[in-house]
Amino acid sequence: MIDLPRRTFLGTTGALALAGGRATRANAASAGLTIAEIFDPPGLDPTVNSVDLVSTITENVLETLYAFDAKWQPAPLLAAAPAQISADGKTVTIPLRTGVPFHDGSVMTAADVAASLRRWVKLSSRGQLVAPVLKDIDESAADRVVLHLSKPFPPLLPLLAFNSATAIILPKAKAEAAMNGPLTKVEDIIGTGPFKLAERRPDQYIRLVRFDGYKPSPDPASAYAGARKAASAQLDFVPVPNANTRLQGLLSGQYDVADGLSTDSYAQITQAANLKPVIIKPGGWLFMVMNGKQGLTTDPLIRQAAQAALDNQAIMTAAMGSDQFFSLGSSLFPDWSPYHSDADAKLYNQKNPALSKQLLAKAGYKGAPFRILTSQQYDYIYKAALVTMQNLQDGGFTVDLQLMDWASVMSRRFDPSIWECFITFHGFVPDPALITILSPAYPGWWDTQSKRSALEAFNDAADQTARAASWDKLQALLMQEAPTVQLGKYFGLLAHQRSVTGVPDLPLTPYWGAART
Amino acid sequence: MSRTLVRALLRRLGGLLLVMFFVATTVFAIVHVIPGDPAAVMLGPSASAADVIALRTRLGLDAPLLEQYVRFLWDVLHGDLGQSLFLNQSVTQALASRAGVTLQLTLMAAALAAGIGVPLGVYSAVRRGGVLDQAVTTLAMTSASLPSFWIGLTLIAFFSVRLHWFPVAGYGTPEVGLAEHLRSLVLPAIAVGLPNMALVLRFTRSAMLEVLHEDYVRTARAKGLSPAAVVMKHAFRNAQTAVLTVLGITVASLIGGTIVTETVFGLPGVGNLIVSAVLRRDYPVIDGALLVISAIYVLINLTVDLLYLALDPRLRG
Repeated sequence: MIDLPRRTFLGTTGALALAGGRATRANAASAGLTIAEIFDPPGLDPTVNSVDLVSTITENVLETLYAFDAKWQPAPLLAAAPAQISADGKTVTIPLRTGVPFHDGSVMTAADVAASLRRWVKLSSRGQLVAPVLKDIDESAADRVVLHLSKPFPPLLPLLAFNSATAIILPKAKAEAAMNGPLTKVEDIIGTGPFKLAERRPDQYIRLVRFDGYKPSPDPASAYAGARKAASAQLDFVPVPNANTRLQGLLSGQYDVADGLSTDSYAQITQAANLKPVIIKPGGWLFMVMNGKQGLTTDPLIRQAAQAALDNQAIMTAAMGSDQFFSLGSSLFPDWSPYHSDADAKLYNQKNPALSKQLLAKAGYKGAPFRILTSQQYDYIYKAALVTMQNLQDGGFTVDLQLMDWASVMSRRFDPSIWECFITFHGFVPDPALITILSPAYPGWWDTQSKRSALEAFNDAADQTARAASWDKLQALLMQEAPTVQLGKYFGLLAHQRSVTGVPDLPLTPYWGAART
Repeated sequence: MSRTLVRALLRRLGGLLLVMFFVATTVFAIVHVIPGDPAAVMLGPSASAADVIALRTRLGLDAPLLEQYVRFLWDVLHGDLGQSLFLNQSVTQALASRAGVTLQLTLMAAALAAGIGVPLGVYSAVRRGGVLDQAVTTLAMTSASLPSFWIGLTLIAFFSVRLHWFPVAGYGTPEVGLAEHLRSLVLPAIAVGLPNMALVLRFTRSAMLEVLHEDYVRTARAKGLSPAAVVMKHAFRNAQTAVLTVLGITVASLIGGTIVTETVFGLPGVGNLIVSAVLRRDYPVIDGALLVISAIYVLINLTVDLLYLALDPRLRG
């Protein structure tokens, strides 16, 4: 009675194990890479959806006119050369590469580029920054597009080059058909990239296959820019929401790459003979965004009190586990960036609850709840929120930590009547023009007169020296007015099999050069 | 079919419709009242409020809730569960494409729970107080107290990472074939089936212990029947109703249990679909999936009730 089921069970599972064991080895011998990602992306249109994973997947398929090189400077990709800017700064001519085929066999023209840029300006949160100054796009010449602006706009090139809320180039018909909303069908995701989108099975995989007709840039490869080459025949992006399952799948050899791993697993990865960790540095910022439109935090003294109370070292240690995975410092940009600024650095990491209490008293604070919206969906954000709450309580605040899922945080932040602060992440961007929290429309609504003037000066600055000087003033305002407090800079962690090469330590990791040796 | 049976069936079907209406209304209300916005998810973290509002209008989410509810009910009555906001397919298509995985997983887990739980429960009752009975009872207690996600992670660490017998997660691509698909389901089926096996085992043991002390069992033994005949023909047959009850509960609870297990093992089943839909606020998928699952739940209970009638003549009146 007992032996029969046991034999049957073991026999059946053993047979399945043996059968599948062969299948796994067969899969391992294929020329494709399997990349375990943290979830199934909510869409595949990187112009409309600024979720990092959407960009990570689609940047292998959809290309831009410019892309950032290893020095984080915009460099030509589908453009043939750097943009030519007229003396008055109002005419930007972008020469185009010729004979570049789309995945549908058509060849890229100026009309495709113009239609795609019009769509980007209309639908992308970053493209919309260009809209107020863009008068017209001239596509009459076959080998270039000319952008006519109402005034000089130096952030244009970084915005065109960035791979989130992206200025992707589509065939004209596809761009015009999706002028009012996201591209939703696989057959509409037509680009010029080294991979083409072959299949999407929601919650199972997104499959990219090598585009044999790909025409790479003649420039040498440099970060996201220059020549791209599909090193693997196929890329399968597989959603594996459980972080531990991603790691176990990597350890077992089922996955070639696992993204978004917990920093707690770093030691285990380094001890595994078959795995190699990749620390993505810079990764991004953790921000404490405060409500500048309504309620308690419209008073700068309250915001400054919150800023004074924070122990950034403790917050980032709780969030990231080890200082290997974060750095501190008031400057948003690293040492090597032209935008590195130590303006009012003394206001960062003050860990001064006594000062916080003084500022609260000066503001006439009576103990009204300081409501923090947070979620456990991103573990590091939740841990940061817990320490932030403790810091604020020590600084004299009455804190109401409101726990919800991330989708709720993302929608509730639009209602200024129900929160004082939320903690969020912002992927690294190489240019201040790309920082979304600077927009007055971003929830937090930082829109003081001093900030408007400083931002206008920054956007009008003609060259990089002038832009850096202007940014210094904006950084100082960010510290003084404390609309948003930078808690720290986090680094990402992914890992891959040692047999895999070509995985760069770049944010929004591009995989076109990755392959199994 | 007797008139009593027909009456019972009609009564149950009427109840089913009422339950479905209640579920549809409750689910719709809860899903639409909780915070979260599919448009905000669709556009990502850098979207402005204006963009989100514009997309909500395009998706028809700005219509009054009552209007959306009436439209939802009307569509359901016409067999239309709506269109997913994210998947570029209808809710019916989305459910149909995931149902196979969940059904296979549920059947494998149920087979494991029943195939091991029932025989062990009978054996344990017959050998009450013996070493094997104590071992089986301990196994049942332990299995019942372990959460399925923990069992899943432990199985992955041993059978997948160490022994490489089974994949860690996923269902494989369509080209890998049925054997590979089933191989992907072995560990999840054990993870979700083991706690249920314990439940079946304990209920079976308890039901058997009850009937083994009945006079008719003693009489059967006194007549000189073999121990196997006494246990199977006289004792187990009378314990069937209780065993059937727990099997019905088990299958129904397995459908819910697969939600966590499918997430841990990355299986593209209905459970995973619901989790993703909740995180994205894909309202039509949440509404449709929960409606269908509750219908299945009610139908399982109905089937169990009908089987009672078939198995136990006393219940037919």
